[in-house]
Amino acid sequence: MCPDVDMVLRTLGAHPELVRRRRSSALGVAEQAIAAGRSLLAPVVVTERFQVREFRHERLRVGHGHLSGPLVAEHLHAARCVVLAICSIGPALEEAASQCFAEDPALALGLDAFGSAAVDLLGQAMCQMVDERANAEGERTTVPLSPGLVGWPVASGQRQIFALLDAGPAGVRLTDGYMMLPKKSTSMAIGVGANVEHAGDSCDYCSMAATCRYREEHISHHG
Amino acid sequence: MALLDELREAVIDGQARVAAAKVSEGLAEGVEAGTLLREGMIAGMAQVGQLYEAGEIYVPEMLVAARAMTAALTVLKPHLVEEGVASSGKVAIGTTQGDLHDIGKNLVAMMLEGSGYEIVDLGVDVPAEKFIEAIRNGAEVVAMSALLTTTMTNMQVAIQAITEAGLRDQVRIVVGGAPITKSYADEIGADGYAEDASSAVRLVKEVLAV
Repeated sequence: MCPDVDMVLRTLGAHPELVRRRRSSALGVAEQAIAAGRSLLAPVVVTERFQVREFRHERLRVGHGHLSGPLVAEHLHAARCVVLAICSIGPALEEAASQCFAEDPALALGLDAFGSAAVDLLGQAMCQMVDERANAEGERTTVPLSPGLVGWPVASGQRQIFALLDAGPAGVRLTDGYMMLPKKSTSMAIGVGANVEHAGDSCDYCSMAATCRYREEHISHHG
Repeated sequence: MALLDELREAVIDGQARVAAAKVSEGLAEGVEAGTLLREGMIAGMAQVGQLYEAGEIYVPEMLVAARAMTAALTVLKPHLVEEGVASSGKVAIGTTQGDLHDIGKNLVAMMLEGSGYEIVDLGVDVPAEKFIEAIRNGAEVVAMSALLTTTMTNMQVAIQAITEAGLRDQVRIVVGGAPITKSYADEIGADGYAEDASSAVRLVKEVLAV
């Protein structure tokens, strides 16, 4: 689970082919970040599957809590169960990035991008595991939903997920502003069931979809 | 002058040692510190900003250039003080209360410093009182960033506090960060919004000119 150079470049908003054609120093920065950051990754995931007890008025009752909001209603209303997950790569990499900014800001930025790509990969691996299990059981999965996507505000979404899932074993905690620490962490909910739909991509529901440079690079990479 | 061109090129190419050496060379030849700053270094960083905005270079290259600028500035600073060359303006910068994302803020601070501004880096998770204190200490611009929708609302809290402290007319306030938009900046009463570090430099120049 280690991002490659192209992934780091795309996270930096750079086009790998153009970078190579121009012999841009961004390539060296990405390579250096991978070499320096690889040993600092400490990936961890906490996850739990919850049976859906009831769906009413945009509110899904699961376990001893609930998930609610327009996005939750749109995607999870037909779910038989919901898988919640919190993924993190630990604090070491982001601490290293902050510490080296004064000395080498380009490397700090490279490390930050490497960390973002790594936690993204970890989230994708998590989704793949959920997909495989669902497929084996003859079911399907929804697109992974994260707090902060349009229709699921950060504050309420994080409160709901962290109330249901013990993030302690992952070493992840929420600040008063509902930011996850370590920063390179992600939380998600995936619906599972025979009648759920996998509509689009998480990026389609992001409030920054129109302006996100990472998304531009991601789309051009995947065609 | 060839030396100024070489200094400018060294900044653009991100060659920190060459840039610092060119400054020393220029000073030894009797070139004024202010000339080296404006016509060599700031001109180089302005070109870097243009290249970035044209999509010719990427953020890491912009940072490498800014680092070269900083190296040259370290050599030049005592001479600027000696000559009484004033900075382009004093900017207090920080992330809003509750927000701990420092990379973007650091990048903007570095680009502003490289463009001749005096930077008061207030760090991350900055309460309104610290911005107020910075204004009382002479900051002409307050630059705030936030990466989360939950923390960006504290920009408005800070602006209100600055207004209530009777300081709003003394300062220009600019904002930025992933969830921020021009319309949000207008809504909370900021003087401007920048979508990246390069445009932040242009914005600060614009708001100070008003």
